[in-house]
Amino acid sequence: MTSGAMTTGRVDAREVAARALELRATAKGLRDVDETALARLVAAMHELAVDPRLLNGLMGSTGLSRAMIEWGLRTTFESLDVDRIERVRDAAPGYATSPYRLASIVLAGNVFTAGARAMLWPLVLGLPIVVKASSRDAVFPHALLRALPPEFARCAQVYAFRGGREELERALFQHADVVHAYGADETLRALAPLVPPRGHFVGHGHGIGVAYVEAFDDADVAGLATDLAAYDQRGCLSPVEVLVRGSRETARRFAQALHEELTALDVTLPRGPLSRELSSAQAQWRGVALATAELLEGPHHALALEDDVPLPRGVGGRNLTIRASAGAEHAAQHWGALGASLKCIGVSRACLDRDAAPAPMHTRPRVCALGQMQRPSFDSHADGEPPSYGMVPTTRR
Amino acid sequence: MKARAQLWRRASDLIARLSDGGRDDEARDALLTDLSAYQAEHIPSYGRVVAARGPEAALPTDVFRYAKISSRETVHTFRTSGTTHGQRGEHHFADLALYEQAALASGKRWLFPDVTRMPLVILAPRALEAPDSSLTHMLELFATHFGSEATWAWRDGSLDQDALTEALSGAKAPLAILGTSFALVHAMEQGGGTRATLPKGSRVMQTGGYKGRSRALEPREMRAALSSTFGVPESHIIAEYGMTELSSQAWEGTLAAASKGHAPEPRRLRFPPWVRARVVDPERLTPCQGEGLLRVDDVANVDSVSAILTSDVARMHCDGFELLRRAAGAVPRGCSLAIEEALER
Repeated sequence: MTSGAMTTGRVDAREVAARALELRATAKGLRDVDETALARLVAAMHELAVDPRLLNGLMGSTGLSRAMIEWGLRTTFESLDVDRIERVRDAAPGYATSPYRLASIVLAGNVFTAGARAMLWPLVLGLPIVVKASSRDAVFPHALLRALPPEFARCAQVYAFRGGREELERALFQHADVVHAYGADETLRALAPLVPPRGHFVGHGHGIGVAYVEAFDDADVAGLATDLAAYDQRGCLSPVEVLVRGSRETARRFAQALHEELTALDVTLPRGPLSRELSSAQAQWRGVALATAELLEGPHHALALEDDVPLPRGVGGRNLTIRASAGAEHAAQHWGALGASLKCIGVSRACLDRDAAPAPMHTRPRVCALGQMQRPSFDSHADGEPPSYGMVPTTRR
Repeated sequence: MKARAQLWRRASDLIARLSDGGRDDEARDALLTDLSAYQAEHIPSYGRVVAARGPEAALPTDVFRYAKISSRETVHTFRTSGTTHGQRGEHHFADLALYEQAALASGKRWLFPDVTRMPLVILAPRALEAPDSSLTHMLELFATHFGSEATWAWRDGSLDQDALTEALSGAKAPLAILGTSFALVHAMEQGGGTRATLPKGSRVMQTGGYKGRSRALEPREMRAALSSTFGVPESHIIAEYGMTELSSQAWEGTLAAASKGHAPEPRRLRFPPWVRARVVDPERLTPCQGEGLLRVDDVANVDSVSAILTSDVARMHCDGFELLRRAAGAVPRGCSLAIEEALER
């Protein structure tokens, strides 16, 4: 089988296992790559980000608009550079001598660019990868693999098959030292038992983002509008509700400003078509908002301003719940029940400047300025862990 | 008060007049229009939806979880069974007369077209155990009006396999088994593959889906399994579709067709002629062809809201509709869910 290959069509479990075993043998060579090779990798990824063939492929597979895909590609790779890679490697000195030889990666299909971090970090940390792309959308993982320079490409393999095929999933995990699985919590529960005892399972499950606003300005409004619009609110960093400190009138002012900003984005960063399932959920959610609260609807977005009746959180497709809040402590209490599902809190600049972000206990969300929720730095932490987490046995925060 | 009384009378008269299958779409639609106007005026939350969406607006079922949908004082409340997602939807009734009139008319037409009474075996809790279940209320009605005797094979939140076995093994006359999909699956599994051959004329009513909780059978597979287990021809295994937010139910017509000696008909669910069922585009919420979200306008919902938007995906045909699936992301719901939870204990 050709190195750096992608496989579609019929996939055989024995082939998967055999290929995984082959990949283990490439680990040593991967750890010997130098700064020049890393520079070639970074350059290749920046080229990929503007590749029209990839753009066309993703327009067909993701259902996102062209402008949205361009935004996603640009913002995903804008912070990928050799310095960042070196810093992460320096912070994980064990990678060069790690006993790990192979990582299995199971990708989700909701946000296409999530595969970039998932696939690249193991490689630059000297860990070959065998990847199962989402059957919903395998375009990006395959394209990334094709774009890799040879010294990395020979250490990677991508498969695409429908989830739930246990024989294939077991084969994927059979020779892995670590399995990183991205997806719904029930998917992770189904996969974890398939990992052999010596394998380390790292689940990246269901997540949501939220936003907290105090003393907002135009930049905050524009920032949250972009955060909401990005990837059509599909991802685990996407905000589903925003708490605005102050009265309901303050929240309404914010909602109105956000509504105007989103109406403009509906044109410049248009939303893609909704699935039937999401349309149905949207109809139910908007109906509840109309019946019990205040709904601001645009061509491709809606904001529900909560009144006396607690509203459900936004359902995706650029639908957002807005609530008035007594302050950061109230917000932290309100979100505390989300636990590990809370992945990101976007906050207004005034709040960030005062270091007054609401921080629910026992959660480790990424806290950032509004506008940055969906464009984390390539080396940012996720769930409180560095990019090297799970790639190297001893890596901890 | 007078307006309400008039609307109620019109609904009751229409149900009575159309119980045998006659149609009067003009009268139905006129009544639905008047009901919507009345309900928008007297139920604030529905009024807000109409103000935003227009007089033809349907109320999404989720709203029943967040607002009181009622224009009168409540004497009885049915609640949804979607217990795993927080608050339950509530359907308030000022009286149950229309509900009962509609349920009995349809039950007679589709489940008991050829008998006055027969033994019933019911795989569901009684009203004492599930006082807010509309399905239980309907089954109690059937037991009272169509049952020569009724065995409730359900006790303390669980399927009573012994009672079921006893009821079936001693059967000398045709009987009806009525149960939710998951209770029926449990009955077949706990029976250990035991098969019965029920007397000719016996029938099975199946209701509710599997609600995304566990083992689900394709409709054909389920019918074949029930037919094999109970020795009942597939024509006599019929599905019923109802929900807490509606007063009327939809039924498959294969049993009624077979009882009249008619040729087998395609598996379609059909609401009675006093209900208007359509599919709508999920985003535009306007009527569409082919597949869409099921919208049901039920004249029997006099004191709540007649125009209901479900989360279920259906395909309309000239002779009814096919229920395709529950739209993912929707709140799991239904009687089969509550019964499934009980069976897991």
